[in-house]
Formats: sequence, C-alpha cells, structure tokens
Amino acid sequence: MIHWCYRIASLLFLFLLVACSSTAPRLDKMAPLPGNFTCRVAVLPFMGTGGYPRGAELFNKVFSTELVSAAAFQVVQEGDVLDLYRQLTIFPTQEPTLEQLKIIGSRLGVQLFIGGDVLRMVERRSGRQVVTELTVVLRLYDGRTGKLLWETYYKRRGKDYRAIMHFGRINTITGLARRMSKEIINLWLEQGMNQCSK
Amino acid sequence: MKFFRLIALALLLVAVFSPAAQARSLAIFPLLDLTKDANGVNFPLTGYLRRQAGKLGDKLISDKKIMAFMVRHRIRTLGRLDSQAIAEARKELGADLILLGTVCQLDRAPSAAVSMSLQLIRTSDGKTIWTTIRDLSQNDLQRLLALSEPKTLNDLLKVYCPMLLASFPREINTAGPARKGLSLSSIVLRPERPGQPVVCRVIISATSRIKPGSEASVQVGGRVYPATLNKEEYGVTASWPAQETAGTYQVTLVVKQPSGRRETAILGRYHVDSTPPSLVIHLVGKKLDGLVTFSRSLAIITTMPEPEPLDRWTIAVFDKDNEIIVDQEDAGQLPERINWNGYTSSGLPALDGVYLIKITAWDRAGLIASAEQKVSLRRTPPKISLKVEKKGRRLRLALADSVTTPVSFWWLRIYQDGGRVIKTASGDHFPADVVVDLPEHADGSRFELMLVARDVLGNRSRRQVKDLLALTEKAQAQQQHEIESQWLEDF
Repeated sequence: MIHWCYRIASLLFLFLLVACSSTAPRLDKMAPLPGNFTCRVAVLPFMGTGGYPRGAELFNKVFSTELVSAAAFQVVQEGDVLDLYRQLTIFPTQEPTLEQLKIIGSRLGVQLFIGGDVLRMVERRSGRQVVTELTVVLRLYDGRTGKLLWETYYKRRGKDYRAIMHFGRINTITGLARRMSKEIINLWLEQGMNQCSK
Repeated sequence: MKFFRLIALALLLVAVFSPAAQARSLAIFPLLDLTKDANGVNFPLTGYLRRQAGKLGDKLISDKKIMAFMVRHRIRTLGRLDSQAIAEARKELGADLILLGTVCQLDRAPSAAVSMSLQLIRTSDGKTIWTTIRDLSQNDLQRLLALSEPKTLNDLLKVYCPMLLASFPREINTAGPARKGLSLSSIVLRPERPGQPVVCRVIISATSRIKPGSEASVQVGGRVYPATLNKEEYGVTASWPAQETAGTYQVTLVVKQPSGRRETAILGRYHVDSTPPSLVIHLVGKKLDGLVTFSRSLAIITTMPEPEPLDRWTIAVFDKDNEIIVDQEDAGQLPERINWNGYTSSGLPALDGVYLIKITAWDRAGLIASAEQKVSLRRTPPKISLKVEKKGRRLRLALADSVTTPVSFWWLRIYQDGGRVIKTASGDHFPADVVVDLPEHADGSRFELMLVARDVLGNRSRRQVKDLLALTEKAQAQQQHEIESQWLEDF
C-alpha cells in the first residue's frame, strides 16, 4: 500500500514539474520602446551556432522571414545591413559597439534593431523519432541610441508541441525555429510593438 | 466599316486580356544552400523552383542573364541583395520582381526532410513584399499502415514544392510607391586631430542619383558647410574645421535638387574630445615590505574611471637602472587583465628585484594617459641551513632560512634503513628546532632526511640528506681529518 502511495506521489510531483515548466518566451524589458515607432526594423546577423552547423544563419533566415510575414514590420534588406558591416569593418560574428549601432541606425533609418544569440540548436534521430531542441536569446535595440531595450529568452523542444500520439510533433529544426519565432513575434506584438502606422 | 470596328475591338480585347500584357518579369536568383556552406549554392533546386514558378504565369528572366548580372556586379553572396543591386537588376534585367531563396535543410537519410525560405522583392522600391518558409519531414507524412508515404527526398519534393508556392501572391502592384530619400553606397568621414579639418566623401547610390544642377551642403552642429559635387554628380566631398568644444556632432548631407526638392541623409557622428583619458593600475599579489610581490605570474588590471574608446596602448617594465626590460603595445582597448610572467621581452627570466610597471594609453584624439606602480619579483626559494647535534640517542636539528621571504609552511620526515618513518615534523616559520629520539639498537643504521619548505609566494625548496648522522659536528670533523690525511698520503 505504502509502495503505491509513493508511486502516486512521485507521479504527482512529475506532473507538477511538467506543469510548472515555462511554455512562453521570457521577456525582460530594460527600457520602453521608442515612441515614434514606424515599423522599420533591421535584423542584425545572429551570433553563436548552438552546436549546429550554420545555426545562427539558419535561425536568422527563419526569424526574418517570419518577421516579414507578420506584416507588422518593414524589414531592411539583409544585404544592406551586411554592406554596412563591411563598410564599418565589423565581422558578422562580431557584436557591433554602441557607436557602430548608432551609425548603422542612422544610415538605415531604422527605429529598432533585432540581434540575437543561438545558444543551443539540436536535431538528432532517436529511434523512429527526430529530437529537436532550440534555445535562443533575442534582443531589441534602439535604432538611434543603440541601447538595449528588450531581451527575450526562449527554450523549446519539438516534442513540447505534440498534441496526441505523433500529431503536432515538430520533426525539423527549421520547423521548431519557425514556431518559436512566431511565438516570440506574437509576444512582442502583445507587449506593445503593434504600433505600426503604415 | 462594321467589320473593321469588330477587328479593332477584338485587337483591343486581346491587348487588354492577353497574359503577356499582365505578366510580371521575375528573376529567380540561385538558391543559397546553408546545408553545404555559409555561401553554398544549390543549382538543382533552383532549376526545380524555376519550373514550379514558371507555372504561375510570370515571365522568367533566363538564368544565363542572371548569372551574367551577378558576375558583372561581383555579387558573391547568395540569399541576399543590397538595395543598389536590386535597383540595378530592375534597370539591367528588366526585373519587376526578384525571388531569393535559402535551403535551410535538405536531409536524404535516415528520414528525408526539406525546408526552404523564399523572399520576393519588388524592384521598384526594393521592398520585400512576400516571404514564406516551409518545412516538411517524412515523419510529418506518416499514415496508417504506411500507405502511399513518400520514401525518398524526390517523393517529398513533389509534395513540398506546391506547398511552398501555394501562397505566392497572384496580384502585385509592381510599380510600388516611389523611393524616398537619398541612398548612399559609401561614406568616408575622417575626423583628424583637433584643429585639423574633418573630411567627408560620399558616393550616392544609383537608386537615388542626384540630377545635374543640384546643390549639396553638409550640416554639422548647427552650421552649414558647402559641399562639392563631382563631374558625374554622384559623389559629394566636403571639408570643415573640427570644433574646439568637446561633444558629439552629427553630420547630415543636404541635397537640393533643381526642382527645389530637398533631400537629407545622416552620414554619421563624430566626437570632439579635449579631455585625456584616466587610467588606474591595480596589481594583484601579496604585499611584502610595502610592495606587491610575485614569483611566477603577476596580474595587472587596468581600469578607466571614465571609460572611452582607445586608439592604442603600451606596457613597459623598467628595472632598477631605468632600463626597459619589457615593452609591448597593441591597438584598441586595454585588455581587462595583463599577466607578466617575470620574463623580459627577449625571453630571459628577470632577476629578483624591484621593477616599475608603466602603462600608457592614447585615446582617439591622441590624448595620453599613463599609470605606473612598483613591483617586487622574488623567485629565490627558501634556503634552509641545517645543524645537527647528537647527544646519546637524541638528535637535535636546528633549521634556519637565509632568504627574507616569509615561509608559508615546511615539513620533514626522517626514515630509518628500510623506509620506516621515525620522525615527522612541520611548521610555518623559521628558525625551528626539531628533537629526534633515535630508536634503540640503531647503531650502524642510516637515517635519511626529507625536508620541504614553501614560501608565501609559492617558491618551493626540497632537501634530501642521505645520511643525517654524517652532518653532526663530530662526524664532519672526522671526515675532514680523513680527507686531509688521505691528501697527505697522496702527496
């Protein structure tokens, strides 16, 4: 009898653990967004690979695509951003300084920059299933001052999205990146980035 | 007459409703393949995409023309274009739209998977008007009893490609809104030393080339300076004296077109700095006799109470004769920590003594700051003298250190023949006395001593005496007598 009680207690504990784990991106606001926000944003090259070949480039592509699809932003061409990196002799793997961010902001005429780090990116096979994991940190910078405004940390696994049996499960790292990007953008819009005046 | 009217009407209808009249010209650039390299290319999938996009009714620009365009404009990176290249593509290729794509994933085995992102750019205003990203894995298409599941990557692509282009926009206003403002392809803003002129050279990109007869000027800190337009009128040059007052100055280019339209672009900012940087040096180490002292490595930490960007810095170490024994320099900011291992720049170990460490830094305006501090280097390990006295079965060891550096700890062990430990002792200072009672019936035995001492700086000495009794005064006198008598016999 006591043995069964222990089993039930441990199951309850496990359930509580799962129930308490965060399923939403964590947003830290360091400063408010600029008042005259006009939707023009630039996505800076992301840093880190998270252990996946060209992980930063992959997540950057996925995130930029989702940002344009959200139809709330006018995203500066990636080529224009990298042109400025070349002119200011900044390596894409390097974080621009405050001074450099100010120059990039004034040249591109953007109100916000989005930068980020890919901390962990995993896609591996386990039996018949594909295990995917992604941990990212995205940052919003003021386009005029280069100051950090918001920071978002998000960590998810493909199996977190499973509804029942194998349905809903995400089987590619791009799919997971896409889903997480959407959730982060939606959170930003909920938190006050939906001030576009087209 | 009626017949001619009918023909004219038919021609008009054909002109209005013909697909050719509404077809948009689409340039599909080679796909970037991230699975191969950061700048890998995937021609087979590009061809596949071209065939699929061709079914949408757009006029495709030939891949040969696109490749020639890329070569002509030295476009070496795939998956992205800058605004100038987009404008050139409109002009030279006659492209209304540009489709760029990236292959994010392409797995053949064990489970096929593909994911691609596409980006459609309107060339008239350089704006991205549509993007999509789709991913598909064999696992996504698992069916009951595995009936008609895709087996290979090619099977998967047949399902994937229609899905990818499903949301491709059918109706697009290819004209788009007019491009606003000046687009610049190159800016050189070179602030020199205070008092010297600031030089600015700007090249305006093809997308917004200014018209003949335009006037240009530069606004800095509330003042307007005239700028020169070169012959072809796509370059602007201006020069003005740097301000005397410290502060940040924004540089704005103003172009007045012959029509009276005024266009501006922020070129950048520069600082006028009249305050030298401040520098503080901290040495991490044990303080002995009022000086930071080290033996192996010294951590030098420099801080700037008011941080600012630096141009370059040097570190120099002077010996007691004011000779430089270490001299190093580097560009940019000072590192958070510099370690000196006690060696000279020529790779020789520096001798024990007092040295002066001096760090000098120059800020971007050429103003100098320096900080210095004395440091002591002591690498000599404890030198332990040992006196042994024997009275009966009792040995008295007197230990002393001739080096001034305080001792951190010492320990000794005395072994009898066969390795039996007969005495252990330890302490944290010198001089020290150790009394040893020799075991009974030990006549003829040898006693071996092992002594280790370490000072507070980490210098360590180890002494081993094979025959401890040989160090007694009586034994030494006897040994001396034996040597002298042997010498006399040899003589």
